[in-house]
Amino acid sequence: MVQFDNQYRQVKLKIVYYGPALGGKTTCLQYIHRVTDPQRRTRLYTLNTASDRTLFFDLLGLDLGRIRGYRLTLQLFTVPGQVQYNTTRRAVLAGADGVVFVADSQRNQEKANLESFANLQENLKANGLDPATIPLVLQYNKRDLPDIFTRAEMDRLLNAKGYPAFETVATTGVGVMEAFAAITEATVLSVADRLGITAQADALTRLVANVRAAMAPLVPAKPPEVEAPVVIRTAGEGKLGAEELMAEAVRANTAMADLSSRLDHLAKQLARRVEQLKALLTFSQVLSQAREPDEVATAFFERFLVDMGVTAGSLLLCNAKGELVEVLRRGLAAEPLMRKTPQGLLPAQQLLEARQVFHANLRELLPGQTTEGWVEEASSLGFASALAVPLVAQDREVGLITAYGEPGRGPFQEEDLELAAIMGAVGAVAVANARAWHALEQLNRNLEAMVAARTAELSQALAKSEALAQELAETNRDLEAAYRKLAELDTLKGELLRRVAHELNTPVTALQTAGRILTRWEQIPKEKVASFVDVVVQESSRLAELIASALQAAALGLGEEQGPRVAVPIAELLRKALAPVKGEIADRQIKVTVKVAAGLETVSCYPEPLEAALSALLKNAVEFNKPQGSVVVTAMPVRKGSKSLVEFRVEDTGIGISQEELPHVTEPFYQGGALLTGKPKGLGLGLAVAKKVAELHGGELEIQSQPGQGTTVVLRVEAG
Amino acid sequence: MRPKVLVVDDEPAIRDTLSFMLEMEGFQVAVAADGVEALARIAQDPPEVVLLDVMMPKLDGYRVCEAIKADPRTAGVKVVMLTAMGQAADRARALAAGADAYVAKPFDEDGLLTLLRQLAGKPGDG
Repeated sequence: MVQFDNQYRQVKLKIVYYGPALGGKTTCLQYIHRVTDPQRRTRLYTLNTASDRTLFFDLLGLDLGRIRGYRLTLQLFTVPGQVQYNTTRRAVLAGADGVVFVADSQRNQEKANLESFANLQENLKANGLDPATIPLVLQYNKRDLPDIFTRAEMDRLLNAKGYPAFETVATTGVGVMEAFAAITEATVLSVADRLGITAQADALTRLVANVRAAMAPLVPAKPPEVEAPVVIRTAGEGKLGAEELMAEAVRANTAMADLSSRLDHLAKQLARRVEQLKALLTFSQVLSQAREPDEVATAFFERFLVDMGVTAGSLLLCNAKGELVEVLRRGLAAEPLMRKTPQGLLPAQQLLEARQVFHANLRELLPGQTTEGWVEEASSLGFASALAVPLVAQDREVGLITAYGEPGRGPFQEEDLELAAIMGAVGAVAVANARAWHALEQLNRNLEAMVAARTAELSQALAKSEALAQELAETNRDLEAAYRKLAELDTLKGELLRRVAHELNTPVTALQTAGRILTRWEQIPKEKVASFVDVVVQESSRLAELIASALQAAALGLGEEQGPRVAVPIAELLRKALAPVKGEIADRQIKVTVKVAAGLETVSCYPEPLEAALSALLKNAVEFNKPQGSVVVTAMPVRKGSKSLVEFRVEDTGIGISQEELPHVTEPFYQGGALLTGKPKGLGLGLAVAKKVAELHGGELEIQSQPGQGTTVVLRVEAG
Repeated sequence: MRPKVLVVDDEPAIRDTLSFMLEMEGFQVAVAADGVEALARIAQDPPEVVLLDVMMPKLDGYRVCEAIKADPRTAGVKVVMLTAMGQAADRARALAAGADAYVAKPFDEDGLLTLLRQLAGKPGDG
């Protein structure tokens, strides 16, 4: 009977060690229990009866492969050998898938062996099992003792049907595992046959190879320590003699033992879960400490391989275009999943898109499974199992992680797959997060750089615009100043024109009227005629004077050639300059003093311009003086730097010039006083001409004035 | 009665020639050398017409004109502004000051005489 266990998706194959009492069955089972990996078996249970024992344990972790998706596991039983425990024997034998008959090789045990072997046939039939077809293996035990049958004698005694037979020494384990391997293989084949798999030759071959590969490492280098069995106490057998009751008790005990076995298995699973959770905790801690995507990927990959108990695998991650790219690889020359199929498909991509953990026991019997050659590929690389976990974070495909188990590792169990799925989920999120953070950081850095660049640009632009604004403001100020100057000039021009017009029109009007009078009427008294003729003469000369000064100023302004400089006696120059203002000096009773420095006889100059300039200065000094004021004229040599000059100084005690007016007095046509009521006579060319004349002589004109006290004008000419 | 004209000018040459010409043309002429003197003479003996120079010491012609027109006793005196400056602005300013006429120097004697006779309300003998 094949026990299918749907909860664990496993098939339990029951192997019963049968034989005469004290023949070595228990020792065999103890030995097998001892040498198998504690992780892959339950504890050894004992159903204690009065004087014999029934032992059993489950071998869960042997990588025997799968049948119809169910993992193959083994359950090993012994039966009590004593004749009187037949009920127990029969009960234990129920549902057996294979039998190991442990015979006692001692010559004195011939009868016991035969009886037990016959009892086996009987009990098999009683349990509905066919003694002709049930897998059976013989162990000729106690080969180390004296007085034993030869192998041939044993064969003749028990093996008429030619069962596989092994000479064994249960106490030291000799031959025990070989016999165990043989019954396992035979039982698996028998089950496969019963399930109709025998027809698939290659599947069967693979299954057998798998079983052999699983059993091979069980033969130990040295016997391990003995583990004390768990004792389950039962009611004593034989007291009641009621066979049915006994069978019931044995069944109940077996069931209880089986439950206990399951509990033990659950405890182990729990322990494994705890280990897994610890691993996951470590894993998530490791991942949370890593920041850079590369670090996270490496940490993830390494932990995954460690926790999956493998040394080969790879991490494939989606690039920006969503294509899988191999990021990390270990123990593989190339990732088989990254090899394109003849149809041009990438198995890794397909597995990722399927979004399901995929694993393959490369020795399992699963006909028709599509692996796109992946399993074959991995198998050809020498791996026994393969695992691929799609990495998906927040419904986005991140990548795929694979693990390949070597034959020694055993197949990936449910717990492994669960752990792999969780690790995959955690790893996917960690990788996605690290990538997102990385991108964000990159973006931040870029943003910072951009902001810095923009700030620099802006501040530059700001500085530029400030400079521009300043420039504009300056330009504006200049423009305003220029405008004010223009406006002033415009006003000034109007005033100038009126002054000039007044100055010229007045004598012209007088001349014209006088002329008309003289021509209009013949009867005019003589004295009147004389006075009008006088008007004509005076106003004519006034006009001539104006015209002369205007022409002179114009000539100076045009920079007209003056001819060579002439040495003119200073006394003569000053006398001539004073001549035009003599009348006014007398009228206004001005006191004029002339001082010429000793030894200064002549001045080298252009006589007429210099005389006109000095005359203009004197005219101003007299005209703007107060009545009975004084004018002091001084001539002296001076030095200015390397220049040798002659200085003419005209000091008056007149009205003076205000500070505001001072800069303008040398402008042509400029005149002090109010236009309508205070305008002096003349065109206002005096100081302008004097300045020009000084410059003409390589000198300068300086004016100092104190309003109300007087003005000093200094005209210097370069001593020729 | 011959119409009375007051000639106000600071330039003796103009004052002398103008007053002689007006006397010869049948006007009764008085003279003043500046604005202050002019106002004093007008108050004392108001003429029909004042021939008023603009640019004068002490008080300029515009101010004198304004004073004449502002005083009800002399407001009827006709004022002819006479200026050598000859700018459009001066004409406008003269009229603003209340002047009855504006004549630029140098002037046309016949035109001036016609104007004076019109203003004096007496055609005279020419």
